[in-house]
Amino acid sequence: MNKLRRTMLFCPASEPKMFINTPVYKPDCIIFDLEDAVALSEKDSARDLLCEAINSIDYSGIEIFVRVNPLYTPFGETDVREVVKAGVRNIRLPMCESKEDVKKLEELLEQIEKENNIELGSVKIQCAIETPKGVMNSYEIATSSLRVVAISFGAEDFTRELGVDRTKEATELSFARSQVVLSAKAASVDAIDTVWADIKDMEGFIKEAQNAKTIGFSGKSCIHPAQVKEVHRIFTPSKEEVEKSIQIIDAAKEAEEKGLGVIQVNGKMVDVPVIKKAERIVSLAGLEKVL
Amino acid sequence: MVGIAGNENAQDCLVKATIKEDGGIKIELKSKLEKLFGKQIRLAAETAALEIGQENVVLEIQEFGCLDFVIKARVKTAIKRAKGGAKHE
Repeated sequence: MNKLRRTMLFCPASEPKMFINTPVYKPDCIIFDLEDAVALSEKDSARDLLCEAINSIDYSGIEIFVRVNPLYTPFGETDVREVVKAGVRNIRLPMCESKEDVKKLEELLEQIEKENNIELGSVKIQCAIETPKGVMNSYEIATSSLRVVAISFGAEDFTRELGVDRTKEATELSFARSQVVLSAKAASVDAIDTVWADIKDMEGFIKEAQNAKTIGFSGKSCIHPAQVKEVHRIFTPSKEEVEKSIQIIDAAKEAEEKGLGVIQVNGKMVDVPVIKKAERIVSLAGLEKVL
Repeated sequence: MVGIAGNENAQDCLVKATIKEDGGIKIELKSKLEKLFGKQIRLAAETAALEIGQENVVLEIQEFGCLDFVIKARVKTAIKRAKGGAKHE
């Protein structure tokens, strides 16, 4: 929960120039995509490009994920084997529907780690919840392995499975998005919201990103660089929020030193949940090391 | 046994690999930057071939301003395709 995952910017792994251009926009995370963005005939070349790029480009400061092909396809297992050997430490598992799906990936990762002298358990998993079944099982998915660091919601496949159109109001997604957030929070992992496909409609994107923050998502998937700075703006606490939180943390420290219980800040009662919320805001603002 | 990978887009390269029985690694390079970076491009291509255990191959490379990692990736894919495609364990 400590890592900032406000933005996860998708990048097709089949385009050489994208490996250089994408980090320029400074997303918190990049998801190199070997799945939907890559044509069947180029699955092998995209994988080779990604492995070579990981070995030669310095992505420090950005957390790298790879969306592999599902393990039931002819490409999934090779994707996982090759990218982990190349140094990737975060795998995004698409179409995750049950804890068994995570267990299959976990078994494969354990085998690869042993074969290649990689620290056991060091490869982490982000599970993509993209079906009604996945939504209903999202808590068991989020708690199925210590490797799971995040679950993300995918609206395009979800609405297809639901048999409805995806609307800009997103009424059809409201239960599922909230369920994914609740499951993630209950499991102490990050919840990442779905992509907004209409890249020309920035107003709609901003509205959905604001809603994602309001209902508790940790961040949002992005498919265009212009979306990154908007999500960062929305998910980064305001100056007023940060100042108020620092006051609360300072007052709590003082109270602890004096052996006091419940305290007041600006006339309002401050207890443990309020202090925890303030700590989270300061952490999101990246100030925790300064205090 | 011939395999092709890449394309003619900017920052990419097109590689044709022909697997041979002997003769070592031969590289035929076409690049506007050959004078400046030819040595480096050839080294990247040779390294890539050896990294996947291919000691005898003719590599025809058309280069369009790409970085080393692209050369290496395209050479590896072309060789794997020449040998019958990537393995899916």
